[in-house]
Amino acid sequence: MWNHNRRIAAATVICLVISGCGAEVVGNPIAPQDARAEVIGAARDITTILHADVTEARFRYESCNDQGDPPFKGVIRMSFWMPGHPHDQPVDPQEVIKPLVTQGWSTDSDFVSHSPTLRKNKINIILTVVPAPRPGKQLVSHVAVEVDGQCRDTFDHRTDRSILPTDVRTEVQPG
Amino acid sequence: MNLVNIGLGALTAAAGGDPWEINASLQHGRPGQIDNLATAYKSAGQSTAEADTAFAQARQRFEHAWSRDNGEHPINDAQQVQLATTSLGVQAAQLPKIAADLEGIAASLAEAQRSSAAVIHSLDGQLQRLDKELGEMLDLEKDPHLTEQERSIIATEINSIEQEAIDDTRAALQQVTHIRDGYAGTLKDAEARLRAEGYNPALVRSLDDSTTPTPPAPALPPPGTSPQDVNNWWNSLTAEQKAELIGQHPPELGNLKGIPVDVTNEVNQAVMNDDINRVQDIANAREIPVSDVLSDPAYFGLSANDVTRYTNAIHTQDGLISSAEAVDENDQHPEVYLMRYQPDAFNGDGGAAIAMGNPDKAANTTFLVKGLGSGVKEGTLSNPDGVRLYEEANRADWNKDTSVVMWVGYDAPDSPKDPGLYEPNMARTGGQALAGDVNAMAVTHQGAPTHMTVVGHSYGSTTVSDAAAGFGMHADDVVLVGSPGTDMAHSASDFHLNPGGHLYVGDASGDAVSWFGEGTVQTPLGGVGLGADPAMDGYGSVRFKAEVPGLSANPVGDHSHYFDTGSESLFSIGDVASGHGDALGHDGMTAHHRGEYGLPALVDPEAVRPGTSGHRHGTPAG
Repeated sequence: MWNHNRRIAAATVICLVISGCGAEVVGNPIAPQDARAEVIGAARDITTILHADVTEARFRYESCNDQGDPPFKGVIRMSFWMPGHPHDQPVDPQEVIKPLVTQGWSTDSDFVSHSPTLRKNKINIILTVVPAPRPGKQLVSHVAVEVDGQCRDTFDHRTDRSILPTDVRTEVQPG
Repeated sequence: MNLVNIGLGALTAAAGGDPWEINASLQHGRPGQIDNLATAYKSAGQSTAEADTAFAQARQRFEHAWSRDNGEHPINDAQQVQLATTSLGVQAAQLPKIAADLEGIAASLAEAQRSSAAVIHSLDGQLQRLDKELGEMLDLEKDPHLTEQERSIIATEINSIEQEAIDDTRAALQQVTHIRDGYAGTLKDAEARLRAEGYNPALVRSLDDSTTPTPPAPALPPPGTSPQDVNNWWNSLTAEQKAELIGQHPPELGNLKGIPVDVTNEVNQAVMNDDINRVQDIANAREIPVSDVLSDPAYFGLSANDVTRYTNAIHTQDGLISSAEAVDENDQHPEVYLMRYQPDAFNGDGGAAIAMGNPDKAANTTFLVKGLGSGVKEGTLSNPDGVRLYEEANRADWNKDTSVVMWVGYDAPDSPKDPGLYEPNMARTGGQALAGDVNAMAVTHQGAPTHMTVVGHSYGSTTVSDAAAGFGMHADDVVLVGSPGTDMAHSASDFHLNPGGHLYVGDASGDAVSWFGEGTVQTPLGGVGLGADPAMDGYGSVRFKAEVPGLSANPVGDHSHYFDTGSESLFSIGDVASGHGDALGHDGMTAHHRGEYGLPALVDPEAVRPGTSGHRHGTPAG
């Protein structure tokens, strides 16, 4: 009986907590197309500044929590070659970062350590300047960028498969 | 196809032939194997622009037309290439042309198979409809009160239905005959060219000829066979037997423990494609949306289970696509493997496991186990947390191969209203299954043993605890985040980790769910969770920082951000998953336990520290 009562207490407390307050509140939501547009714009800004030769660019909506629930943010993962550099050697990270900082990408991002991260107009990017590959592997790009939009899209993208990645390479080519 | 009122023998006699037989002979060809052969010639030959273009165009046609639902297995292509170049005296310069011709044959065969299958599916659907209508007329005819005029109308209607069935069958017969003849012509032309190039087309005929004898596949080991015995059985098979089994892809084979993941992946994906095509083909043949088929499955001869399998196959396919988005430190996408596939398990919630990177080869392998609301049906396989963990673990040790497994292999509580959430039964059942899957990895792993980390989130942390404490799971390190309690485990030593291993815990001070472990929140009736709180002082865990920045009015908000990009928690899990749990101190990521300094359990030393975001391992280049 003791154990049974304890479980009922657990059920009551957890239920109150989870079902009462489960959904995250988004103060100023944006539409899915705006969540997409803001990261497309940021990605194109980067490729234009760097005159990048984009090899791959994929957009998807990612949940902003561990449950996979709304809100979602727009995310682009893209890869590119830097102009004028051989494709069998890595590039100097500063050659990538400096032009971006000059054009308004701030190192004062939400990201503070361990890896080059930049921010502009509330969009964070994480830069990976690809290192010299391990033996047996080849370079497939000089730079990989993850562009993270704002967690303000409250549409549940699991319901219509719009959670799947789409090719946006032509939309983020320099222009 | 199951017709009640229409006799197939009479039907094919009246139609002048059997379209199903012609289709079956076409479907017996193996375009996948011809494609493999073509690819082998392509890679063995000297490249020329002309042949490359022809090959690429044919390959594109092939990929467009071919579905892997035959589950074919590659034959020994290299051996065939060698045979042709040595015994037959083929010149190296001819190899790319042979490749293009072979690829053309593969594409034509795949296209013919696809077109023919569509015609047959359409015919089947039509006949089922007519069969049903005929049944209704025959029932009406039995009514003794019918007038002569009514009888006459019914008889006319019956004749008309029968004639329609004959006409449909005859039309389908003409179409599949036309498709088969078209393919035969293409094959003949290609064979003539191959002969001129010095290649013996009989090698292709063996893959195309409907009279090729099929050896019987060996029987699978009975349920309950140990992974090691399963592995011994698999290794005892000949290459032909393995190929035959993979070709037949019995669903049980893909879920046997002790079979290499590249094999289970091939089998499981073939089964998954079957589940999708069963519905998709009907929709294609009738040129209607899939949703129409799903809304009235019985009308199309499908069962409720067919619909469940289709729905979860699509979720699984989405999970494979999403997982393939991950990139390693070298900006390359990992191979993804469908290690487990049970779409109708757990009352339709479905079970599956997807690996990013090959866990049979990786130096570091991590199983990720989610909790409340997780399941194939719920779309968990497409959640971004597995991808993020793969990328962070890769960056944490860029010099080693990493594999992350999204393990959705147990019946998790569906919602806060699910009574299972407040009892450990589902965690215990799931823990037993998890222990079996994790331990089987040691049997199939190649080379030095992998560093195995098992990560449990929320109710999944209870499942992981039970797997270790109650069911003998062998892990090097275990990570629990947002844990409501560790049920059968009462301290870190109960996890029986391999020598040198540690229990790591990430609990945000503001995560209300993590307060539920015994010893933290005390009601008059005792602790309210699912066992001991592993973040407590004295439990024996290593606690890492897992605070969430900003203020949240939501007491479970902090329960939901352990896998955020840049979070303290994801960064710390990356350290552990890469085999560098000892780096947490160096990275400034260790945290004090609840109840340290002799403080009451409710006073969490982490509560006074603002959370930070912005943690991501750099690569050697920055």
